[in-house]
Amino acid sequence: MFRPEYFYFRKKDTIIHRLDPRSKLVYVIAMFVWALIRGDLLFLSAVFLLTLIPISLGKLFKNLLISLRAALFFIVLIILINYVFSHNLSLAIALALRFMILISSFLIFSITTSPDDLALALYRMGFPYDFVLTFNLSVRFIPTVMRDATNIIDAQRARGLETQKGFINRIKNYVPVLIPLIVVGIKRAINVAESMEARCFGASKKPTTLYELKFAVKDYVFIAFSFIPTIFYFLL
Amino acid sequence: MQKVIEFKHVSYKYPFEEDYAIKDIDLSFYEEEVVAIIGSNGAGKTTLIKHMNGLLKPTTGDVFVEGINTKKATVAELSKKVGIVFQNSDYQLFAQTVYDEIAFALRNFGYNEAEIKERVKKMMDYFSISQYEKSSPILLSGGEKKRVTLASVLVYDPKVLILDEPTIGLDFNQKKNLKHFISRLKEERKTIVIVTHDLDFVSDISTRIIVMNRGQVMAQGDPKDILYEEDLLKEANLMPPSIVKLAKGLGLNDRILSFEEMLQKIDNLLLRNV
Amino acid sequence: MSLVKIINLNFKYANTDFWSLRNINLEISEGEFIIITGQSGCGKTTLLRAMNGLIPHYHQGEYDGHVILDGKEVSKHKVYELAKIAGIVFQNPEDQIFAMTVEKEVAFGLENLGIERSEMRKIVDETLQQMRISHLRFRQPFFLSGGEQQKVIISSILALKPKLILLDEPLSSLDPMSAQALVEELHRLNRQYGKTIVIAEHRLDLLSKYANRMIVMDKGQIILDNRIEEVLAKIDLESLGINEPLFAKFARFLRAKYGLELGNCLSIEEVVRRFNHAKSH
Repeated sequence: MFRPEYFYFRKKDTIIHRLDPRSKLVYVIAMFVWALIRGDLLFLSAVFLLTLIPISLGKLFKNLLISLRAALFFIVLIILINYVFSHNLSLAIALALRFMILISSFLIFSITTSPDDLALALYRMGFPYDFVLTFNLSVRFIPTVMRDATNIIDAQRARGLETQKGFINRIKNYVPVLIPLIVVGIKRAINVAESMEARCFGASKKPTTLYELKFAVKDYVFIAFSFIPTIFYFLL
Repeated sequence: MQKVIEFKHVSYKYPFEEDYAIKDIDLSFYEEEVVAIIGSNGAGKTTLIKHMNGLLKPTTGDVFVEGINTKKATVAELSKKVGIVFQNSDYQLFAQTVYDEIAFALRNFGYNEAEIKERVKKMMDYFSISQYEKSSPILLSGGEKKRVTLASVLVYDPKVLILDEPTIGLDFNQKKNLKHFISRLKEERKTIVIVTHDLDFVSDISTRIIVMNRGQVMAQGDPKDILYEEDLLKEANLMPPSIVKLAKGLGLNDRILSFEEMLQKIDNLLLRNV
Repeated sequence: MSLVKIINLNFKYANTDFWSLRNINLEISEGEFIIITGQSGCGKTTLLRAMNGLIPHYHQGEYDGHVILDGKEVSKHKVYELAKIAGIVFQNPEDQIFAMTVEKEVAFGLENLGIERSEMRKIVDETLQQMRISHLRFRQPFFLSGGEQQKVIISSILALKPKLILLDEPLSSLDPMSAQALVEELHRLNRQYGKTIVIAEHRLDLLSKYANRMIVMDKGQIILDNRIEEVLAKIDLESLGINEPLFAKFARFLRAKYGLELGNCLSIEEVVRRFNHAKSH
């Protein structure tokens, strides 16, 4: 049992959190490319170590450890399967590292970017306002829906619902959880829409925003940082 | 009186959090009690009651339900003894008919259909909802939903009934009915635990009050002692019930908690003056 | 001119078979503080929605009659135009919070209206000050307490500079201290900023001392509409299924049983003072 609030974006004040979401997006894409472009241990180790710099600047070590622990099963699986098929341990580890780079760099993007900053970035990139707002709301309501789900599961377990016994049973037993979740979800959706309506949603074709995104020096530095592996690519 | 639930040095911390949600709780609950657990939002009341049927297991310490350590029993086993009715009815109503909704727990506990039928019918009578037997519980009004949820727990006859913020959103008549229902259950020797910040509601029906604040038990005792301790309530972010404010204002020396008692005292006061 | 004028209004939600509002006639003047109460399902929420156009625009159904809000026929104007005159706050704070910071929450309506950024900043500043929550400006509304959340939502309504604020059971999930604090803020908005307040609530004991008028509804109809002191002094609210404040019930009993007249009382303190005064004579 954990509190669903844990899944809510929490503002922290680090240099990584303050970066423009667009520069972090560039960084993630660049890291994905670096992770996939070469498959050797040395290069991937260097790239992985590099991702630890923004992790540490953003004070995300704890989050990284939690994510890696959650992904441990897959990491071990990748190593085993690749070793069995290729009998090449360094290749097997390299492929696991590739997976870890994806986790680490995506974590930097997802945990430090406020959903509404990201929404604003999308809006500025030309996505329609309705789409951007829908995106924003769905991120906003994840913890709420999770809290609803927790409460529903508690209420049904208190009436003897077994949620842990057997696979078929588990599927069957999700009906008493899913139906209230849908009912509550629909009610919330109606409330949210009504409340937005009452706060002038849809009044202007071109809504303004309280803040504007601005690229600062740190963003250019961060983008440059994303291309450091170019050096590794030619040297290693 | 028979002890039903016992907390021994119970602390609980949610994963990934620094602070304990409840700290070092030592409490016992007995047969035929109506216990009100009061405290402001975030005081740890809900975390506490989730320990009583094993939904949460203590991080440190132990909870015993009729002598059984909750760590060694499943939620289903404990729920047969301890029923919880949560605040929001929408969080549990799911069946196609009111009948099936009330029968849900019995089916989970493996009762046969004949027994189920008998018990469900009895509950529907008890709560005057027989006319909705074949209706969808989801489409009922708020007060009716509350009655269905109460029936769906009471139907398996738990020894302890826990009501989580039962008065939120209820109007005057619904509250009156709920009060009536609680006193009936008390006569049936059940233990009733009411978690609430509605002190007006519990002032004249509880036999004991537990005050929680920041995850700890600040005080517990007779309602007459607790509800007249203004400083204590203030520290727990609560306000005395209206009846206490009025009685103190009028300078009544006795600690009264019900309107009827108050009228009697006034009677004495005015007659003495005449 | 009245701020709200309702003439012969009847309304039935689509997909229901009963009238949620029946023959409503009502006038509200600027500066009033009105409590609407009644048993669950009496139509008080529906009446609030009719005042700012959510009915018939957002909730559709059979609509008959006229609602005139600050001179505008509600059925003929868009909800966002009406929102600038009458803001509404609902029961559940969590369903009314969309933004990641308090200031962005407050700016939400202004953004939708396309207000320019410098102007928007100014309004956000003012509004946060009005509600005395400037210190929460950069906090995440999701993590605030229920009472603070309701204050943020009221600020986000105030930012649109409405004359009328409608509240639908805003206190029901709050603990007593937070509820008390919120009621005091509403009183301040009424007194200091001249906002007209219409609040649907069961918790009359907290509100009575700040209101000037009370409306009781039953089965879609207004069955009582009078100055609050008149209602509390003369009407047996419990027989109407309403949570009568204890002091009012007490005063009513004194009058019935001993012929002791305490006059118009709106709080426990007042009842106590007058009772002790009467006793000493």
